[in-house]
Amino acid sequence: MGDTRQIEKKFMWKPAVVSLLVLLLGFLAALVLYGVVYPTYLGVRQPIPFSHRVHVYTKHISCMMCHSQVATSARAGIPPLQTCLLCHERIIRTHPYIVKLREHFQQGKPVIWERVNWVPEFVYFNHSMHINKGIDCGICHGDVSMMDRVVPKQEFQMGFCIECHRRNNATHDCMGCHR
Amino acid sequence: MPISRRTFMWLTGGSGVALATDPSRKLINKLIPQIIPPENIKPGEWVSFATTCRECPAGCGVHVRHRDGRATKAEGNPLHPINRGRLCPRGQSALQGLYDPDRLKSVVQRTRQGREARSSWTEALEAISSRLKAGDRAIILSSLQTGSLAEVMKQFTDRFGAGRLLMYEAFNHEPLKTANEKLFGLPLIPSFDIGTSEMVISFCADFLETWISPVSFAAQFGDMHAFHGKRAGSKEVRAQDLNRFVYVGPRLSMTAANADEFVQVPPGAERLVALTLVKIIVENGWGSNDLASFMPAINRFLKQCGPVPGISPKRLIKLAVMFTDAQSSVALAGPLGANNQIAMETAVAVGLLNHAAGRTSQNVDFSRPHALSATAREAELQGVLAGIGPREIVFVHDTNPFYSRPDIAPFIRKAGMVVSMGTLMDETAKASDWVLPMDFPLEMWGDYEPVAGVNGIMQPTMGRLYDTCSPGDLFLELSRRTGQPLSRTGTSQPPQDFLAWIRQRWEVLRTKTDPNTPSEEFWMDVLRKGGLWKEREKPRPVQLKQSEIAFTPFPREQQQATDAAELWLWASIMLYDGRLANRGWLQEAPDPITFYVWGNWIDIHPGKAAGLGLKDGDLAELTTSAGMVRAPVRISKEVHEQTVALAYGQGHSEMGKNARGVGTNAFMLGRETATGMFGTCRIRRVERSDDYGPRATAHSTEQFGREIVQWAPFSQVSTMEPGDGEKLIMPLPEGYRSGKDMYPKREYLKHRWAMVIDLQRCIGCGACSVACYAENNIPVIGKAGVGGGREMAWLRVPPYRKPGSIMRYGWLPMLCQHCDAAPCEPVCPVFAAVHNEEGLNAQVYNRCIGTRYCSNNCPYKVRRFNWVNIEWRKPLDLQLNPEVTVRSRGVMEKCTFCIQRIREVEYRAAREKRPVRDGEVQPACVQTCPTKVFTFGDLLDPNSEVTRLTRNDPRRYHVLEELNTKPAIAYLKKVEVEI
Repeated sequence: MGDTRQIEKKFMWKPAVVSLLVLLLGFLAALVLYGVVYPTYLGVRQPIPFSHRVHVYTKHISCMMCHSQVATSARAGIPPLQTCLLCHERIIRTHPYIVKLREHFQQGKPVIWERVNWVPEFVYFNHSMHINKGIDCGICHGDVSMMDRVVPKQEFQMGFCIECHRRNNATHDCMGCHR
Repeated sequence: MPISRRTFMWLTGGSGVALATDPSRKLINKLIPQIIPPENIKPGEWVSFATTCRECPAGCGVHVRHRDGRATKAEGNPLHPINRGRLCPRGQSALQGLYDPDRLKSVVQRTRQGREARSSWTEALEAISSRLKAGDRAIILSSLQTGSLAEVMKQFTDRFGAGRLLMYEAFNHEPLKTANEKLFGLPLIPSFDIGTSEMVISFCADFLETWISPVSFAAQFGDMHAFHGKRAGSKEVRAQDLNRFVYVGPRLSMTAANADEFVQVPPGAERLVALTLVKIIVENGWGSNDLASFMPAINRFLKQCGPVPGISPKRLIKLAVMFTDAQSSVALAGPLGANNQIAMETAVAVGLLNHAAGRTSQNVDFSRPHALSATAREAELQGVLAGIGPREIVFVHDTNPFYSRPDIAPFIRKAGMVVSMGTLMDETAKASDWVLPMDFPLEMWGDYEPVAGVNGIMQPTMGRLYDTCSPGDLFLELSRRTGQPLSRTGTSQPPQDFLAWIRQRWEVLRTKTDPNTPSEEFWMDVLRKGGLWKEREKPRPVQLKQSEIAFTPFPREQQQATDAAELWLWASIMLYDGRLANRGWLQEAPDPITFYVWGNWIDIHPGKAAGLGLKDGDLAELTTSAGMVRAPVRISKEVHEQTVALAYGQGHSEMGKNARGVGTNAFMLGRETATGMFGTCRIRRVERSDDYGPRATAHSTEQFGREIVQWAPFSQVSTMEPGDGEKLIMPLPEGYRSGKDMYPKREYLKHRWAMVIDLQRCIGCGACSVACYAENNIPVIGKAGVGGGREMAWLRVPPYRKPGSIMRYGWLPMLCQHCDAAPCEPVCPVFAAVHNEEGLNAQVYNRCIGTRYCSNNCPYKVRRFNWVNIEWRKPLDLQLNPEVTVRSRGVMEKCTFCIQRIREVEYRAAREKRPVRDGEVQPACVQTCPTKVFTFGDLLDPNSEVTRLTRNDPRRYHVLEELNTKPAIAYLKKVEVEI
C-alpha cells in the first residue's frame, strides 16, 4: 500500500491547480459572457461569416445603408448581393469569403442566410411604423453593432410587444398585429 | 423525482411519435436575398402589373397584384375604358386558372388507340413540323383572338393551307351579326351605350351576366339605373329621372330580375313584342326614321301571331312612348347561344326598334365594333369542317369544341393530326394526338382589342409555373422549323419571337397615334397603363340597306303535348360556356337567383310539372334528337309555362377534379332549330339514384315579414329631402341610450370604419363574394361540405323576394355588420371576438378555441367555422394572400373589412404624415363591384361619403335594427318604380 501513498503524495498539488484552473476559466468565461474580452454571443453559423460588429461598430455603417426598406415597408429587407458589392467590388477583394460572395453574384445564386429573428405567421409586424415612431432597432434586436454572429435579443412573445406598447401608450388593438 | 417505468414509456413514446411524424411547420428559417434587385419591386411589398383579362371575349383590363414573384389577386384596371376598374366573378377567378392543380404540365402524345405518353417539346415540334414540311395543311380553331396572335395565326394558316383560321366561340352572337348585315350591310357586333340611356329594353339579352361585355354593361347599368335623388337645380325628382329597364323573355334571369318590369313571353315571342313596339312607333309617327317599307311584312306577321302574350296593349303603348320620348334609349337582342332563324329575326326586330327610335347611330355604335364580330359563323365552321381529311392538321387553341359542340367532334377526328393547345386536359385535349401545354394568359405576352380603338396589352405577371409555351411563339417556332419563318406584313425580317412581333405591331400603333414619343417610352407607358385607347368619338351614321324583311310566323295557338316543352338554355354568370368549370371559387359561388352551387338544374313551371308528376328536386330527363341530359328540377314560375330551362357550363367528363362529373352538359341537347330559340325537347321523370344535382345554400328567398331587403316607392323617396326619413341609431357614442343599452358606450379616437350598401345598384352578380375568397384566403369546401351547410363565404349576396311579388328580387350583400353593440362579443369566453379601436369587430384566430357561441349569437349569421383543415391543392397555395392568416380547424372566422388593406392605407398615410383620405381604403368587395354598390369610409370624418349617406340619404336603413346591434353597415333601400 506504500505505493499508493507515494502516488498520492506525488500528486498532492493537483486539486489546487485544477481548482485554480477552473476558477480562471470561469473568470474568462464570465468576461466573454459579459462581453469584456470578446464581445460576441454565438448566434447561428451563416454561410458567409458576415460580421455586423465590423460593419456597424468598426466601420460606422448605418443599419439603413443595407436594410434600406426598413422605414418604408413592413419588412426591413435583406440586402441584395449587389449592395455588398457596392464596397467589396473595390475593397478587400481577395478575402476568401468575399471571393465566394462575388462568385455567388456572378453565378446569380443567392446566399441563403439563416434567419435569426422571427415572429409567428399570425403576427403581422410592421418595421416602418416603428422606425417612423422613433423606436430604435436595438429595442427589439439588441446591440447588433456588437454582434459578430447575430443572436436574438429575446424571443418575440406577445408579452414583450404589449409591455412596450403599454409603456409607450401605443395601440392595444388586437388587429394591430393579428388579422 | 422518481420516474416510474410507465411514465418513462409514456413520455418517450409520445415524443417519439411527435418527432417521427414531424408536424409540418410553416416557418422556414431561411432568408433568401435578391442578387440584383428589380427596380421598384421591394421584397414583401405589393406590385401591380397591368394586363388584359382573357376569361371571356369582353377583354377587361386588369391589374394583377403581385407579391414576391407570384400573382395573388386580380383587380380591375381603373384606367381601362371597358371595365373602369371593376371585375366580374370570372375575372376574379383568373388566378385559380393560373394555379389550377389540374393544369397541363408537360407535352402529352396520344396514339389513336388512346394510349397516352409524356413527351417533350422537341418531339412534338419535330412531329408537327415534319408533317407541315411534307405538305400537310394546317387548320386553326381558336378561341377569339385579335391583335398580334390573330395576325400570327392568320399568317400561319395562309402559309400552311388556304387560310383556314376559325375564331370559334360557343357563344358567337351570330344572329346579331347576321341581323346587322341584313339591315345595314354591316356584319358586326356594335358597341351599345347603356350608360346614358334613360330606358333599356332587353329582349332576353343577359347583358349583366354574359352578353358581349358584361362588366362594361353592368358598370353602365349601375350608373344609369341608380337612384341619384334630385338633379342639381331641379325642384323635385321627376319620374323620368329614374331610368328604366324592361326585360322581355321567357325566363327570369339575373338580368331580368333587375328589370323594373319583366314581361314573360314564350320563347320566340320576343320578336312579337319588339315588332309591336315598332308598329306603334311608326303608326303614331313617333319615330325619327322612316320604316314604312317594312310595315307590310310586320303587319302580316303581327296579324298571324295574334295578341302579344304577357303584356297588355296599353302597356305596350306606354313603353313605346317612353322608348321614343327618352333623350337616349336602347334595345338589346339576345339570347346567348341561340343561333337560328328565330334568334336572327329577334335581332332584326330589335334592330328595327332601335332604328325606329333613331338610336342606331346614337346608342348603337357601328364605328366601334366589338371583337366578337370576328368570330366564325356557323357556315364558315361547317365549310372548314367538311374539308378536313387525313392531310390536315387541326390546331385547337384554348377552346373546347368536343364539349361545346359534340356534333362536330367526328369531323375533327378525321384530321390526320389533332393538336390541342390549352391549359387543361379537357374533352378536346383528351381526344387529341398531341396535347401542348400553353401559358396561362397571365403568364404570357399578348394583346387584345376588345372594341375597335381599345388596345389592351397582356404582359406576364409572373414567371412560368411549368414547361409551357405561348401560342404565338409556338406557331412562329413551327414555321421556323419548316424553313419558312413567318414575318409580320410590312416587315422584312422575321421577328425573333412573339414579343418582337407584338413590339412591331405596337410600333405601328405608335406611329399612328403618338409618333412624337420615343419608342421605348411609348412601350413603357403602354405597359404601365395596360394598353392604348382613344377618346370615344361620335358614332358614325349608318343607313338601312334593306327595305323589307319577312318574319317566320309565331304559332298562334300552341298546342303542346304534356311531355314536350320549349327548351331554354342559358349561360350562367359564373361558368359562361363551361371553360371555367374547374375553378373552385366559381363552382362554390352561388347562382344569383336560386343560390344553388356545384351543379345545374332544370327550371320548370308548376303547371307543366303537375302534368308530368314532377316534384321539386325530382330527377328529370330532357331528350332532343341530338342527345339527352338528366338533372333535378326546380319548380318555379320564373320560367314560362311552355318552357324548361337549363344552364350551360357544367357536365364536364374531363378537365379536372372540380369540373368532372358536376351537373349535366346542356350542349348535349344540340342545336335543333325547328322552332323557338333552342328547339323543343321531351321531358320525363326518372327515378333518382343518388344525391344528384346542385346544393342549395339559401333555404328560402322569402322574407317572412322581416323586411330584410326593403323597397321604397319612387313617389315617396322622390319627394324626400336629404336628412328626411328615419334616423339611424349610429354605431357611435351618440347611438348610446342608457335605457336600452346593456353595455357602456364605445368611444373611438381615430377612425370608425363603416360601409354603405346601395341595394338599388346591386345586381346580384356575386363578384364581391369571389373577390373576398381571393383576398382573404377563404377555402373552397366542396360539394359535400357545402351541402352540409359548411360554406365559408364571408360575404354572400342572397336574393330576397319582394313581398307579394314573384318576379321581383332584391339582393342583399350580407357580410359582418361590425356592430357597435355586437352580440358575438360578450358571449366569447376567451375574448377572441373583441371590438377594436377603430370600431371593427375583430376575431383573433390564435385566441379562438372554437366554442361557436359567437356564431350562435350572431343575428346576421355571417360567422363561419372551420370544421376541417382545408388543404390547398398545390399550387393553389401560391395564390394565398400573405397578408392574411390561413385559418385552421376549430377556429371561427368572418369578414374583417379587409383589415390588411385598412392597415396598408393607414401605415402609408402615417409614413407620409397625412390623414387617411376618404375613399382611400378599398376592401376587396368595394374594389371589384361592377356597379359601385359599396361605399366604405370613416364615420368620424364629418366630410366622408359614408357620413353623408348614413345621416342624410332618405333611403338609409339598418338590417334588423330592432335588435339594437347598431351595425356599421347601412343599406339604402331599393326603389320601386311605378313604371
